[in-house]
Amino acid sequence: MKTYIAKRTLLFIPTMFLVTVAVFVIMRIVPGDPALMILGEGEEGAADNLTVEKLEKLRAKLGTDRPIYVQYGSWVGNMFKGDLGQSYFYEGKPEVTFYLKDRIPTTVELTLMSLVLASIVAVPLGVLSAIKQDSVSDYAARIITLLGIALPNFWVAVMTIFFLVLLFQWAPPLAYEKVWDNPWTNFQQLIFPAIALGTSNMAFIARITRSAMLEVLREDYIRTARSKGLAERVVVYRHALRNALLPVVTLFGFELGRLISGTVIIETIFLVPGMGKLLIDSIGNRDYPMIQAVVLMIAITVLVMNLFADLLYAWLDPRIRYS
Amino acid sequence: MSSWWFTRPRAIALTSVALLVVLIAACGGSAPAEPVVQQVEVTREVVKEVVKEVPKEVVQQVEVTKEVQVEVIKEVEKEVVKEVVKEVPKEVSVVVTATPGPTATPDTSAKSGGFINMQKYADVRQRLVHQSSILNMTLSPMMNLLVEYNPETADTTDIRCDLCTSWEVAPDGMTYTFHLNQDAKWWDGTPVTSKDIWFAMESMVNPDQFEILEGRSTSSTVNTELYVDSGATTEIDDYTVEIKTKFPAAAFLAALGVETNAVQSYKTVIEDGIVQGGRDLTAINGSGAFKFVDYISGVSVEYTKNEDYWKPGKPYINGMKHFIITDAGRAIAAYKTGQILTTNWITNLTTLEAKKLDEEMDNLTVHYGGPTGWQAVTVNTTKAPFDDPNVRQAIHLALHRQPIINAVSGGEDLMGYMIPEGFWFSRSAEEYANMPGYRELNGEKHPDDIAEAKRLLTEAGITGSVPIQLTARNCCGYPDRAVLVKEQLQDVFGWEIEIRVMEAGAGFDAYWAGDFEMMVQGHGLHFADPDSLMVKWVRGTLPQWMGGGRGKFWTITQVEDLYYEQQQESDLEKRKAIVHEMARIAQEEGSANFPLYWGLRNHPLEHRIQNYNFELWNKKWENIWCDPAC
Repeated sequence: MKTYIAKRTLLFIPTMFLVTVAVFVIMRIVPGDPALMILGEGEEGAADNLTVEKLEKLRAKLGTDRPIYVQYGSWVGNMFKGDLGQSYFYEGKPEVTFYLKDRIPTTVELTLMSLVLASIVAVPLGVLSAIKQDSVSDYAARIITLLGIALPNFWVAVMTIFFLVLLFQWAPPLAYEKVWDNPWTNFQQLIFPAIALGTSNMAFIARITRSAMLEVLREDYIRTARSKGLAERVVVYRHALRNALLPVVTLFGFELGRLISGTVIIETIFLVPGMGKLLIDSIGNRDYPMIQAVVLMIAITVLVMNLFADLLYAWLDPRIRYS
Repeated sequence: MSSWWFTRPRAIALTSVALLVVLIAACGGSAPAEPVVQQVEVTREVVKEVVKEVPKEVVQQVEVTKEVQVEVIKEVEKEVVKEVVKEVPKEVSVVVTATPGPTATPDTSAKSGGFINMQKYADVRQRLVHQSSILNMTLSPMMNLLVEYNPETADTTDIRCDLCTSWEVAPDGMTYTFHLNQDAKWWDGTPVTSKDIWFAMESMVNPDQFEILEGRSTSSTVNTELYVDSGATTEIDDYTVEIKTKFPAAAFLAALGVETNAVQSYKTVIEDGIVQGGRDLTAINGSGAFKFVDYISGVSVEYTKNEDYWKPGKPYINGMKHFIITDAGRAIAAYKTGQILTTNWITNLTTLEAKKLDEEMDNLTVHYGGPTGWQAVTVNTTKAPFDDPNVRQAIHLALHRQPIINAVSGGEDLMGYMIPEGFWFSRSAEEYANMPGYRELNGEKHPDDIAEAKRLLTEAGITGSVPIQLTARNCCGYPDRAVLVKEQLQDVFGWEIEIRVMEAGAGFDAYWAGDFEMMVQGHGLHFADPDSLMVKWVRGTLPQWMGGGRGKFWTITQVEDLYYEQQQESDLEKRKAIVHEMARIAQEEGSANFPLYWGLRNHPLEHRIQNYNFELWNKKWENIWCDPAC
């Protein structure tokens, strides 16, 4: 197992290399000069007094006038020293790591809350749908999951707010509180974004659970278990579900990546100060160091969670042995 | 078949109900959850009237006030104001100035206390106090100005002292002497002196002379450098300062009263080396009524009352939090649930959305202020066929503005070619209704305009279909407006118009590079004076875009000359006539910018907030209070 973990960790290196190259190059191919943004070109009329000299001076200060490979080398070199760079936009505390430390916990909390909520609903729904195949419950569950997959996150988010206001004259608090400062307000603020974010994941997990359960329930060992006279509960819970969950668990790593990317929109709509909101603000500001760092963090998270899912897979299925 | 508890329909139903109960509990368990405020019937009808009339009546108010200030009027009764206007000798009324009244005193009817949450429609961007590219009023509560727009009146030409106690203008109309309030002090306890005023003026007009400010944008939106040169400000003594303008500038004081001209501490910036701007709000050492508490980028800015504020008794409220809400739906939800009570400047609600919000809420009124900008079609004059004035004139005549106004605002937004309705220098709606390019016949585009547009195209040698690319930045409703423009021009001319939607930042890059044929874009107006409006046609961004990109200005010579002429004209009627002449020439010579409409800015205001004047072009919030408490 240790060898497997070491091998997988080593595989992170080429993946991360490709991620860093991709994010670095794409940001520089996309039109939009950070020096222009800083000097006010982001708004019509704000750069009326802009001169070429001012631009060149700022580009030199930012280092964006250097060849792209030099910039890349410098960024990666600093990264190894634990320095993810300085924001082009924020002046008081320009260190990118300051913002990451502040924002990561919020996004992690939102994502986990979303994943847990999605799983709590999805797994029973999938099991119910499978064991009551072609019944009214099954059709209802399938319609719900189809809707969940079809409806985009942002629409669910907007509708969630709309109906909260319509039915309760209430909307999630605007002023963000960290979970350790005010757990209840934090819960009120994050529960609805988590639902909006997790709707499609719930639907997807439920459908995978259903199909996996249907497959497992037709296996010989299930028939054997039933013929032994085991209670249906034991058959479903101990024999069928544990095996059916294998593909679902693998899915979690993948779903986590989707969830994190979903936070970009959801955090903006619900005013949650997380990584997604930071990313979208930074893209608007052409804040290269911040964008690179956030994308890097997301990539690392997805890689680690995938590894974790694989390890969990082995734990759940004794037949699987990594070496 | 199943005996497993959670797969039973009953168990699932119960779980769902339990979850729902938790959610309902979540919806009702905290202070903001209470939809608050129910002292509502107060003054809704009255306020409504104000809303409707303000944009129209500004014209009269401005005329009256300005003439009253020209020291002639004491014996003259109201009814002869217009005659007085004409009789005032130019040399007497060289500069239209406001009354040099003292700084306001506390209102005895004000109630202290309370905390107000507001909407802020965009995040902080300024790198310098004097750069306020989106006028988002972040720094206003923390700073003071030399003079301010009088918050007690809706008249946008009524200027009074803020950091000064009085001023005099020399007979040449160009030398202003300001006497400073000796009680005014920075948060660090040091007094506000003439050194600070000198520094403020210099950093507005030429920040590059200070190493720490080098490369930072100047107040391009206000263009203070149009009126004052570097070196034109002199410290007479610690509390007296003299500013010499380049010419008798009619709009000088109005420009000084805008947020971008806030005074910053010389000691903090130059001696301590701390830049005062929006990118590091923790570093602000202001003199204003509110101190900075916290900023969460993209989320909120919080302020608390400055207990040692040098204006006795102010501010009345204990603090504010401005939430950066960029999503209109979320903003509406926040207004409806009482999470926010007003906006710190403009909102991102369309006029239609604002009207609906007003209709649906009893305890909130949406006020409409004079327009802050216009939406327009702009063409690149370096690219055929837009290099031909006849083609440009044809586009102007072919566009049917009213359906566009109806589509975006239910007919509320304003017509206007160069000049919007609603200001003292405006044309009236009736005038527009009879002008080529705007007029209608039986609710349809006037056929004479269509015929003339087609004739002009033929004269330009254009017949049949022409492929045109119409660029719209993916922001702020531009793609929607592009569709309306495309349909109209296709219908009239049969052109093949392809819409190119670009990411917002990339779109600006394309405009600066001259990489566009035709675009749909909005333009801002930053204070209510012809200088702020007309300057857009002679310098800055727009002439460069029209000319094909950075540094390639395109203007109509006569318009430029007239711009400088009106700047120095103190007679309002004459100035208005010059401004109208500019618009006429631009229109007839084929300007490359065709305004579609002028958007009214909207201010939702919860009824508990008192003494608020939404017409102000600076938002310090020191004069408002809540009654009942908020």
